[in-house]
Amino acid sequence: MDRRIDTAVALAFAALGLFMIWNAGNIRIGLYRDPVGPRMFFYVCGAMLAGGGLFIALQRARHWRLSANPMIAPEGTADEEAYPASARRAFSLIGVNLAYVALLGPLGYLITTPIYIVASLYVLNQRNYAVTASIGVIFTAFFYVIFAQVLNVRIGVGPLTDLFRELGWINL
Amino acid sequence: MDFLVPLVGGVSQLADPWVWLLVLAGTMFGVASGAMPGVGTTLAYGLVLPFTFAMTPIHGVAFLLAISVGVGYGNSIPAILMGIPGNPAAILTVIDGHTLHKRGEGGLALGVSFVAALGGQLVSILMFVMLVVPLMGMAYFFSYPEIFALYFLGMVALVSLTGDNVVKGLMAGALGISLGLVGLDPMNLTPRFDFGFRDFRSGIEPVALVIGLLAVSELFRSARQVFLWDDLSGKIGASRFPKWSKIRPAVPAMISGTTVGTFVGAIPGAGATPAAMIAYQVAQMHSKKPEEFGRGSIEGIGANEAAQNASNSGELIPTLGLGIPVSGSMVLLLAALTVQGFVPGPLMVVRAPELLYAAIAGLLASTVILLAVGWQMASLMLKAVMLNRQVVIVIALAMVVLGTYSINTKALDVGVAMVAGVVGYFMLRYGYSTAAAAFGVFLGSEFERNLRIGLNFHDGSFVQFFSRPITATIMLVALALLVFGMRKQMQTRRRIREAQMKNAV
Repeated sequence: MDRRIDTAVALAFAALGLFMIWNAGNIRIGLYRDPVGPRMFFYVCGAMLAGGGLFIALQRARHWRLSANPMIAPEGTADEEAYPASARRAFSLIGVNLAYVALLGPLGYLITTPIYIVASLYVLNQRNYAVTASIGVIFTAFFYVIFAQVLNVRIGVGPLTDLFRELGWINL
Repeated sequence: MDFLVPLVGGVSQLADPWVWLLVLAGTMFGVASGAMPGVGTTLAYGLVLPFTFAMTPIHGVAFLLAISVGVGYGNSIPAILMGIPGNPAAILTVIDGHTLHKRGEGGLALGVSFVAALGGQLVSILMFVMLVVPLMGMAYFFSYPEIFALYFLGMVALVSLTGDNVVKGLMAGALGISLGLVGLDPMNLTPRFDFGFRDFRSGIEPVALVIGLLAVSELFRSARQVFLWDDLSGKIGASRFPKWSKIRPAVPAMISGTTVGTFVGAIPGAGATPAAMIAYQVAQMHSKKPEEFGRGSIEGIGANEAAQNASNSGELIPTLGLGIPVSGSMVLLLAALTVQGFVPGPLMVVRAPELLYAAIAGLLASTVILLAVGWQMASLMLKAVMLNRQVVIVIALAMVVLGTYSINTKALDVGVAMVAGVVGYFMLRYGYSTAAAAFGVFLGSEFERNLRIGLNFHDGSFVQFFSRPITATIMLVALALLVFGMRKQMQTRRRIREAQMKNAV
C-alpha cells in the first residue's frame, strides 16, 4: 500500500468530517427539543472522521522518517502478486461508468448500454469489436425485455420514447 | 419443543414449486459465482438483489440463501482441481485438495468436499434453528435502549474483528451512519444535508448506497488486474465418487467444522474465512495424523468445507434473530427485506415468522439440490472459472446499473451507487471497512431513532437509558470488543515495527 495515497485518503476523510461539522450547524433544530437533537450524530460522526483522518495522517507523517520507501504493509485488499495491476484501467472503467450514468437519462437505456459495454470492454483490453458489440446488443435486448416487459419496470428509452409509444411497447 | 415449529414451517414452504424453481436458479448461480475467483457471496447478492424486489419476501429470502449455499460449495472445485481459490475461505482447500489431486486422488478430495459441504449445511440448519428460537423469545425484552445497544455492538464487533486498523473501521462506520442520516430528522421532520436537492430530502436511497459500497467497489477493484486461467487445466471426467470407507475418517473433522462454522459465522464480521481457518486448526489439534495437514489431508478438507457451509447458517442467527447483519451479504439480505417493507430489528422475525421459514426452506432445498446434482455440476464450475473475467466484470456492472435503476426508476440512484462504488474502491484498497460503512448506511437512521425516542421515554436521562440491565451488559461487551480490537491492532503494529527494525539491522 502506498502511504502517500493512504495519507491523501485519510486527509480527504478528515476534510469531509470538518465539512460535516460545519454544515451540521446549519440544521434547523425544530420546535420539538430532545437531549440529542438533529445535529448531534453529525457532530459525532464528523468528529470521528476528522479526528481519525488527522490521526492517521499524523501517524504516517511521524513514521515518514523511518523509511524512505513509500510502500507499507497493506491494510486493505491488496492486488494478487503474480498478476500485473493497473490503477489506470480501473479509473478508466470508473470514468466510462460515470459517463454512462450521465447519458442514461437523456439517451435512454437501449442506446447507452451497448455503447457502454463496448467501451468498458475496450478499456479492459477486449478489442474484438464484433464480439463485444454482440455481447452489448444481446445483453441490452435480453435484460430490457426481462425488466420492461416481464418485471414491468419503467426503463427510460430517451429519443426512442415516441417510436415505442407508437408501436405500443410503452403505454405512458 | 419450540424449535420444531420453524422446522415444520420451513418444510411446509417446500410445497411451493416456485420456491424450488428459484432455489434451483439460486444454487446454480451461487455455484458458478463461487467458482469464479473474486466473486463471493456479497458480490453475487449485489448482482441479483434487484430481481428479488419483484419476488415475494419468502421467495426472495429462499433465493438469496440458496446462492450462499451454492457459493460455499462452488469454490471448492476449482480449488481442488486447478489450485485456484474462488475466495479466501477456499485457500486451505487448495493446500490439501490440490495436493491430493496432483497425487491422482482428486476424486477423493472432491468426494470429501461434497459430503462435508452437504453435511455441514444440513447439521448447521438444525443448530441455526435451535439457536435462533431462544433469541426470538428474547425479542420482547428489547426496547429502544436495548436495540440501540445491539446496533452499537454490531457496529463495534464488525470494526474490531475485521480489518487491521480499528480507527479506519470506526471512520468507515461514521461515514456510513452520516450517509444513512441524510434526509428528514425523525423527530422534527426538518431536512438535513439535502443541500436543497428535493431528491435527497427524504434521504439517499440506502439500497443504492449499499450496492455501491459492497458490489460496485469490488468490481472496480477487480478491474485492476487481468487474470488468465486458460493456461490451467483440470480434469474431472475420470474422477469417481469415492467409497464411504475412504471418506469416513474425515467425519469427526466435518462435525467439529460444522460446530465451529455455525458459531464463528454468527460473530459479526467473522464469516466463512475465519470459520474455515479455525475449524482447520481445531481438526488438526484433534487429528490422529496432524502431520498430513497441508500435505493432502482429507480431514483438513472436511473441516474446512463443513465450516464454510455451516457459517451460512451461523450468519443468519444474529441477522434474523436480532436484526443485526453480521456481514456484507447479510446487509444486502436485510436491504432486500427493507424494500419489501420489513423493518430490521429483533421483532422482525417475531412479527413475520414466515421469513424464518423461508430461510430454512431455502437452506434445505438448496442442500437437496446440491445432493442431487452437485457432483455433476463440478464440470460446469470449471467452465465458470474459464469465463472471460473482463466480460464478467462488465456484465456484472451493467446488471448492477439496471438493477439499481429499477429500485425507483431514477438515474440518480445509479449515480449514487457509482459514486459510492468509487468511494468504496478507495476504502477497499486502503483498509476502510466497506461492510461497516454499509452497516452504518443501513442502520444509521434506526440507530439515531432508537436513541432519541428511547431517551424521550426515559425523561431525557442518559443514566436511565444506559443503566437498563440488558443495555448496560451489551454496551460493556461492545466496549470490551473495542478495547480488544485496539489491543490487537497495537500488537500487530509492534510486531511489524520489530520486524522492520530487524530487517534494518
